[in-house]
Amino acid sequence: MVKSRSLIARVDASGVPLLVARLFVGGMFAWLAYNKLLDPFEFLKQLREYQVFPEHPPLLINSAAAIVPWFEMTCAVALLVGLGVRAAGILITGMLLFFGPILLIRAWDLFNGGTYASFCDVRFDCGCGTGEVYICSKMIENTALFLCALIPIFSSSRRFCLSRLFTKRGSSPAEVSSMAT
Amino acid sequence: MKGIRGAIAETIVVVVVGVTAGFGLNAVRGRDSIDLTRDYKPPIPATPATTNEAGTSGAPAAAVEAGHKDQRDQAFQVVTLEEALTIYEDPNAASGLYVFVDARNDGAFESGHIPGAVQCDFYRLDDYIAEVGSNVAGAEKVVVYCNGYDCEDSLLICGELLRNDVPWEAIHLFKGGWEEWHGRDLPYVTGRE
Repeated sequence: MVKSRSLIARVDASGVPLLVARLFVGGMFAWLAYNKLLDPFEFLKQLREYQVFPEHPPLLINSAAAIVPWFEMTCAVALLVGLGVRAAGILITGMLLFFGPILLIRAWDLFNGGTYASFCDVRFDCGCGTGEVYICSKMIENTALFLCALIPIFSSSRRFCLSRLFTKRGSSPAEVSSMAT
Repeated sequence: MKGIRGAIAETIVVVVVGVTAGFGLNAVRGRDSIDLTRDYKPPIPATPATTNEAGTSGAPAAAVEAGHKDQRDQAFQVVTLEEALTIYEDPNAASGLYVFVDARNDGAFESGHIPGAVQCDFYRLDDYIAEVGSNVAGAEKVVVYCNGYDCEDSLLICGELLRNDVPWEAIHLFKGGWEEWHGRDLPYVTGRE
């Protein structure tokens, strides 16, 4: 048990899991945000479909449509360059936890109102920036993103991160202990 | 404890940067800027189809304001694909008495639209409403379409035309829209023609 924990700690200290997670989650979120930014009004229409934000006053839903893609892009850039990766991880898991269930609810509504053979056959434009998707593949994608976004939160390594340039010692305690062993 | 405090502080910084970037960059995007205070889903004005006999907007009009898209559609005269085609082939279409209005965005319009249709993107209304207004002034029939049955943009443009004093009798909603028209291999043009 102790051996396995130290193995995890050593793998973590190598910075590779964090780097892979950063590139995957950051890259995906940058791409999704970019697609939303191409037509912000399309995203506004999709956001309205979820009926999460009240229509009146319009300031709320309009602000959400204006901010969310840029917010995603900020988190993606933070992960990709390695600045504030823990915060980006927290915010991305938060967004996935918020939008995941409402995505499922909308898919369930479509399933009940349509003629789909199974729930996984439900295909719609979720406003995620990917166009029309099957709900099950979207949920698998979101789960993978969620799990990978946990790595920046819990990893104590900051290797390959720009933030290392700003830390006093340049290495996290986990990395120092890893180097010592 | 120090770690948690650090994470909270870091998160606050990223939130502030993200929100500032969101508002700031939205403000400088020109025609792609979302007007934060504009109602992008305004109620459809009361029409002869939704107004009761006494001439006041009763229960049906309330449904138009808050209800489902299908109820909102009932505010306007609807044309089928065959009727839209008849209007398109009528000589009055060439003379400008019958006008088609495409309520989709630039990309969709430029990739293909009904020949002679004028574009009016509801979300960038200021760019189009003057030109559309001059095109539909005096028209006997104005056929408005968007992508197809699932889109609401044509309905929103119908409401906008009504607010801009286009007579209700002239406004026609082609619900099948571009998908139905293109699906039947009917004539279309690309670009800004």
